[in-house]
Amino acid sequence: MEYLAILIGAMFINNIVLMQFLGLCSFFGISTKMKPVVGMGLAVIVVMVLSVAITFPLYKFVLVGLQITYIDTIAFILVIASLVQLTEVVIKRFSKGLYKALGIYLPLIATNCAVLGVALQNVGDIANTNYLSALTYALGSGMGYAFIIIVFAAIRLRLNSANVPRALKGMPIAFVTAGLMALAFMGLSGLI
Amino acid sequence: MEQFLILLSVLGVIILIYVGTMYLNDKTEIPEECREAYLEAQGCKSCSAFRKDSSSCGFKDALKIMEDKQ
Repeated sequence: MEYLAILIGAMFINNIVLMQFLGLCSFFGISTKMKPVVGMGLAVIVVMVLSVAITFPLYKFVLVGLQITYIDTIAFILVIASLVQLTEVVIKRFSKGLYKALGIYLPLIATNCAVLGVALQNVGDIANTNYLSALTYALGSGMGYAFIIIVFAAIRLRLNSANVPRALKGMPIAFVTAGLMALAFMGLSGLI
Repeated sequence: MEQFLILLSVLGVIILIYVGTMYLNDKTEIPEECREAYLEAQGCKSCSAFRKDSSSCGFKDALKIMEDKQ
């Protein structure tokens, strides 16, 4: 039950994009078509879970143990970038179908601040966080990102055929839409 | 001094891992049937922030836009 609460909380209540404003570049950048959005969403879920699976023990056992926790940001950036490269190599070698679906978006994720943000949030209160809850939070955050970007892309596709005032066409109406979505998600704050 | 050496060695190891994976990734070729999709996904034109009047979304273009505005 506790893990379900973390999952739902990360997905809807503390949504990484709409509540914490992380990963906005790719959120606005690629949400004009549905196909890349699904691939990007899946890739973010995979990379977020894998990065927390590595960074959490790295922080707990290496950085805390050696009393060099102040390098967490730079260490995590490098670890995430390495992990993305390694994941790309494995997918390239073993599954061409999977590579086409989500591998081509992996290089874009190496610079996605949402992945780094989730990794840093998980070690922020390391004394009260266990490994499984950190992984659940990462999974929920990734799923929240994927859910929001898919919904947002669907809305933007409909807006393309809507009668939008000229001054608001393109990015302005996308910003207004994202703002309204964030307001709607604020209504879920009392869910858990 | 000891703390500084520990810091340097930890960062060194992580940087080495990064360089190693980057090298490995460069060596691994993109599957032929995915090449087009890969280039399309990485290209500036796939981003909705891409401006039609500029050649790319690179740093030089951003500087040029800023200069034009001034």
